[in-house]
Amino acid sequence: MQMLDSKEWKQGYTGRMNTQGETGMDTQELEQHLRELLAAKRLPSFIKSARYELGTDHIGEPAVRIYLEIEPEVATLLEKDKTQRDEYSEFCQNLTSKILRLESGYFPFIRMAEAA
Amino acid sequence: MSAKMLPEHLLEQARHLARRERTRPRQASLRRALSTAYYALFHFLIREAVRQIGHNLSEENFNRAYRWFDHGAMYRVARGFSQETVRIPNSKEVLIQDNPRGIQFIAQHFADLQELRHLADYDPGAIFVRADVLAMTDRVATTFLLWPAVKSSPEANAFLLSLLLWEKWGKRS
Repeated sequence: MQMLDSKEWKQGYTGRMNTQGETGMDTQELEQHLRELLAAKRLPSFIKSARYELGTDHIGEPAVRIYLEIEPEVATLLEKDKTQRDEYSEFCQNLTSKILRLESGYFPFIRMAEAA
Repeated sequence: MSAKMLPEHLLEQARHLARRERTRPRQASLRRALSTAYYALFHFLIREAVRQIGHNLSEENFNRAYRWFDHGAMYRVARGFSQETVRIPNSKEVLIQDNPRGIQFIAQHFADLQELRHLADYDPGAIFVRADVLAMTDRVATTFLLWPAVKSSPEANAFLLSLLLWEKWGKRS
């Protein structure tokens, strides 16, 4: 696992793009929470790192996209191991719930990405 | 013949597509798998909604009611019901105070999959990982298993009704 530095965290950040002006907290506060939730020590061992982008979903509502990066060989193992996939899904589910409880107005979309 | 088992068959097809290539999966297969997994859940929710709200409809009318549902409206409902506290659209009023975790899970997964389907079908730059696609199909299967345990709750009824009438909750006269 590796900790992301602040430069990487900002990579792909699109700024506030709220079509309705309905977000419940400013993006700085949300980003602070995201940094805490995605800290390396909180990630399951098979996830190498995490990053996020703030933007909108396909209907223009505020969205935060979270990419959980894993090594290709780990991805291959996950394909074969449903127990580990369930652990991954549970982590995603908990993360989604924690972000939704913030009532920021940003809906979380969590995806796996292969680490470069 | 009606398509009463359509959701289950679509899920089976999504899993087949996700595992179509033995080694390096084609992005086309993973994209179609995600899109198919979304449609499995889309048809599942519609089937259950029509069964529960219009349980004694004739097959002809069941099929008519089936066509009332709209992707965009269902997505907005799913975003709303993903929360512990469900609010009436365009209002601060609370519709459901303690939305059960099962309903939240189903709603979150529907919203998640519809967003993914858009990426899979329309974004040529998106790259998908097979393990993630398989996890998504696992979650559709979990939704199918979870539904019988939550469907009798008042919150499940509110969720299903909302799939058709979401904007009406705020109507006062």
